[in-house]
Amino acid sequence: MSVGVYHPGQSPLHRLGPGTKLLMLAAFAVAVSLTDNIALLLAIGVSVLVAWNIAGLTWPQLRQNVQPLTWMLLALFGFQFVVAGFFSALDTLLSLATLVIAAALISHTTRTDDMLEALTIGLCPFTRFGLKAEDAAFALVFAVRLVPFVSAVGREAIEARLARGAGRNPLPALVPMVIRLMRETDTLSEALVARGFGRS
Amino acid sequence: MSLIDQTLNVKGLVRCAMFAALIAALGLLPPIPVPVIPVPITAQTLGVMLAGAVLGPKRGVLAVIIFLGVVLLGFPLLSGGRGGLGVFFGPSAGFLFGWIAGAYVIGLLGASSLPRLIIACGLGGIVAVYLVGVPWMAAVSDMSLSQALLTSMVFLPGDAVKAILAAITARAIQRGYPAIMT
Amino acid sequence: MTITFEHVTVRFETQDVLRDVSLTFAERRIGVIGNNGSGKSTLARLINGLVLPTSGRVSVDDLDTRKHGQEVRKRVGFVFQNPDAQIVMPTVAEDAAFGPRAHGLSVPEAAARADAALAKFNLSGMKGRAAFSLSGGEKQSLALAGVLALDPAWIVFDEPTTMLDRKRAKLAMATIAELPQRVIVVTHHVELLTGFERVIVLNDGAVVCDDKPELAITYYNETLT
Repeated sequence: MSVGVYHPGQSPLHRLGPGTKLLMLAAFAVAVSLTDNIALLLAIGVSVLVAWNIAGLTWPQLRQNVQPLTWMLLALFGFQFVVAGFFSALDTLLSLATLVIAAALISHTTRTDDMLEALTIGLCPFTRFGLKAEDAAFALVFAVRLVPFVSAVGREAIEARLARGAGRNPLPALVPMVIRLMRETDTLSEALVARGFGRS
Repeated sequence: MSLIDQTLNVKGLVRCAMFAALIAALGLLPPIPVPVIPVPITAQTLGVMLAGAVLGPKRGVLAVIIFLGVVLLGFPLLSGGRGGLGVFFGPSAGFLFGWIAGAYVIGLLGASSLPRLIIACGLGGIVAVYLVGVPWMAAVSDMSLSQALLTSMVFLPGDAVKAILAAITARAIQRGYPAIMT
Repeated sequence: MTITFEHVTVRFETQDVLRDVSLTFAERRIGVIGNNGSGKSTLARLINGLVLPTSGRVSVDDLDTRKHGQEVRKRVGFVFQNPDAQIVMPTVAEDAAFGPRAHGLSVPEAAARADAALAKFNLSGMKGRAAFSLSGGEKQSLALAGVLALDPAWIVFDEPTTMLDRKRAKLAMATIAELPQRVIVVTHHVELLTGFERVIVLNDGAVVCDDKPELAITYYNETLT
């Protein structure tokens, strides 16, 4: 799989096991949300940025991760500033930005396949919904491979409506699209079983 | 286990993966501006509601988890082209987790009449999702619950429109493919 | 009643799918043949504005497909290769009435059109059925009924027989032959085009032969297969 956000490299962060990194991130999240010491938060923030640099990641990549949140963060800052004062607002802003960057740092330095493995183990609690670990890994990969197929069926559904005089609005096309997709799953699962995929 | 049972099980899994892919594909559509409503509507949550309504509670939940798993893996499939671990830490990340609860509730209440589907999509797609999303936002951004709820109100009109659209769409799918309910 | 292509080029990303094609269609039965990737499917989609030319102009009865898409699609029906891809509504009756409704007819008018079209194909007894539960042949009929309900002057068929066995392919071509409408058939089953008035051969995005069926098919068989 190659479409993910993994950025190849040889840094210590790249070499850490994915499970370790995810646990570290969880601990990090707890620590950051518990402290309201601005100096400490600033220090943590700076060290995350240093780690970003060590991992060989670029500043444009950083901007890509933070940009979608800019307005939300600024709005929150303003809100906290009015309600609880400058330091509380700064606390919120720093905690959130640091966490998002740290999480992105883990994503950028972990290969998709490794993440998949760690995630498969992490999904075990969901066995009660009928999901087995090995199936989970398969389902994730399979879902990714189905995205272009789903888009193609969607385009055909829109085209069919267009050819018969309707507009380009994609929402009504959802009905024939979903019906076709669900029918295709019959064929797909037969093909999977025929090729030896199955649970006994 | 007989071959037929096996195929049925595999079919369940494939349907979940297919719906996860549908939720992803809907995220690739540009947001649709709707008159009167302040925030443009993204089609992605429509997919989440449909997952519950069409697949039922268990498989609906599975489809949403598979989708979130793919996003967590780093595929930029969340609407707006976002992906990776970072999206699960922002102030609005609770709404993503709320989708799981939403799909479950919709599937549980799911029915084959339009009014009941609208109620199901409203309770699942809005109430259940907000029950997770709002406290998360309050906790993460140091707001009180009522302040977080007030902030979330910008999304309410859009979500209400989507709940109704999801119910109408789900009903049409049921009529066009009755076998879907098995 | 004519369809004209004036210096039409269609580019997808960096590739020219059709290059500088100029044609005038006035015959009642026209075939378009070519190998996969020759541009024939794009040519078909240009006729009712599903694809717009990158440069040049396509017009139906002097209506530019770029400016009058909706009016053009009322005059030109389009039958897709896969009838599954064509069904847009849950039930048979709703699907047949979809086109007339989309073109602004009232509910009773659209239903009347749909009824008449469904009756032509012996589908009247299945109006309430889920459209996807029909057999392959019935779906094909529904697809055509849905297009005929609009009463178009032209019907474009995109590879109508590719998914059918030989017997059903013959039946489909017999149905097409009996249609009162003007017909354009895009196919690579050349033997189905006997009795047509004109056949166009596409290769690599260009018209390489435009003649009577016998001559065009001979050209296609000898140089391109």
